[in-house]
Amino acid sequence: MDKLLSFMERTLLPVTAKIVENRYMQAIRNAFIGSALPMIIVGSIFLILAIPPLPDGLHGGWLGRVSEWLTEARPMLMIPYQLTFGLVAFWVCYGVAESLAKHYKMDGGRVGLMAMATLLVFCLPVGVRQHGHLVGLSAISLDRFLDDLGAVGLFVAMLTGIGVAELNRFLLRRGLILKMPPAVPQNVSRSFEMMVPAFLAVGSAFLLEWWATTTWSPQPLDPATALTLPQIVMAKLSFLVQASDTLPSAILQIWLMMLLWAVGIHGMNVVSSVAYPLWQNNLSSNIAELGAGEQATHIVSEPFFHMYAHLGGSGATLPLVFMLLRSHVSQLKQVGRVALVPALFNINEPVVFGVPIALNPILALPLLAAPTVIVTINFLAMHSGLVPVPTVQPPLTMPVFLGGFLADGSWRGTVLQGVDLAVAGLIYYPFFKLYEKKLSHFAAGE
Amino acid sequence: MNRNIVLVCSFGLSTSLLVNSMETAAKEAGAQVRIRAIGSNEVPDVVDETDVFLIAPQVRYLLNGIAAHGLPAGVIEGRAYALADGRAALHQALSLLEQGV
Repeated sequence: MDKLLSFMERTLLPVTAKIVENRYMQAIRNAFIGSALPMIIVGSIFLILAIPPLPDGLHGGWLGRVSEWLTEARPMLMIPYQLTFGLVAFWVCYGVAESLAKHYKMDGGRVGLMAMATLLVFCLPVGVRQHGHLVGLSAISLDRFLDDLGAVGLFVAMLTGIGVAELNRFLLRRGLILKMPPAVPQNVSRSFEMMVPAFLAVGSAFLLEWWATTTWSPQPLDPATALTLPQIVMAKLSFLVQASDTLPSAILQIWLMMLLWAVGIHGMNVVSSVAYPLWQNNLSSNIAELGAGEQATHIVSEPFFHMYAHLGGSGATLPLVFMLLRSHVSQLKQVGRVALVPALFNINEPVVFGVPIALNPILALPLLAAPTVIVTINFLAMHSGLVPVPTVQPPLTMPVFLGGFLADGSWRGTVLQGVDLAVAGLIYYPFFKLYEKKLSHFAAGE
Repeated sequence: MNRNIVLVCSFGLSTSLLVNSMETAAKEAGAQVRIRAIGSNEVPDVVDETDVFLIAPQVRYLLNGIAAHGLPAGVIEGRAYALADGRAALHQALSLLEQGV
């Protein structure tokens, strides 16, 4: 087991470094964490205000009147959500371009803006006719346009961000960017420098969109049914999103996360750099369903892991902290004391490296087993409708019990977290005792 | 002159636990340092105002990428990190500074 773990570390570390250090993966992750996350969290708060967790079937009394008004006003109350979290692709597009541009030591802000402009072009069908005349913006519904800037447009947004940053880099390297004489003030010369790449980016996006709309849309072309590039690409990749929202996919993801944590590598970080777009797709679909007055159905999203699996941190280590606090081995008790407060906010590096769990052949087993069992329980509970599916993404530091309530707007989410904690505790306990025994033997032997 | 020590983890959360204890250790030792914790995505933004990077063990795969910025960088030892051992981390930062790149 010892050998297995050190072998895993030797093989996983370079692979992880390759994935995480890949500049495109890095840009996508930075975009989600740095640019989109604030909008996602703020949007989630607006969403809770628009669709507050009130029990169903309230009639009469002031609470009943509030609940009726909220249902009636829902389309209006959703606006702040729709213009923040709802435009997730817009923010991600900026973030990808900005981060990649910075990586190439270019002006991130400007390249990011250019990418946003380019993405906007992709979100309108081009070359559509109404009554025989080519039509422009006014013929397109705002709803469909904004939809494209949300989850539907995520894949195109990431590609646009990468494309625009690469275009800028290419032009800069070839000296094809207009340079002003040094006497011109820097702000003026910079805006001139943007001209060639911005013209090329927006212009080629326009032509590409024209080709895509006219080629792939149902004929005859009509503003109501014409397709945009984000819609076309999403239709081609929807199998991927669907496949991500299954029990095998959830288990595969938690396994990868935990295998990495078993050798002390931030598994959530690594897996999320690949899975984040899929999670956001599922979460956004849930909110769309909720907004339409339907039941949310997409289970595997960011809060599915952060709120219902990583209880007290990755590996569901919160119960372990309480075992540490009561341990008679002073080394473990000391870790427990340091680890308690961070663990209440789902930060468990003190546990992982203090006990340690990382590279520990005894504790690697429950580290894999507990989250796997929990994820299975949670998936089945949500799939069967016993517990509502998460629709809100609270910050990852949201304490257990509160997080479970906020993420799905139901006390059942809190109960599920309680069940999960008990299960995790039962799985960790025998292995913890074994490890404790080994440590006290070791101490006695000295 | 103040030397800038930057701690890197995933979101700048778990490293922030170490900042306080490092500051206390610095005060005791009379070391002139400024310490802060950042998320890995902020590294390119702070390179210009950094003298040494200390990397959290769970993101140790970032070491080569961060070292490529041409500044001294090292991974914090697991147990010192877990127990927020500011003295050990400060010592590591100062000896990395001494060694240079």
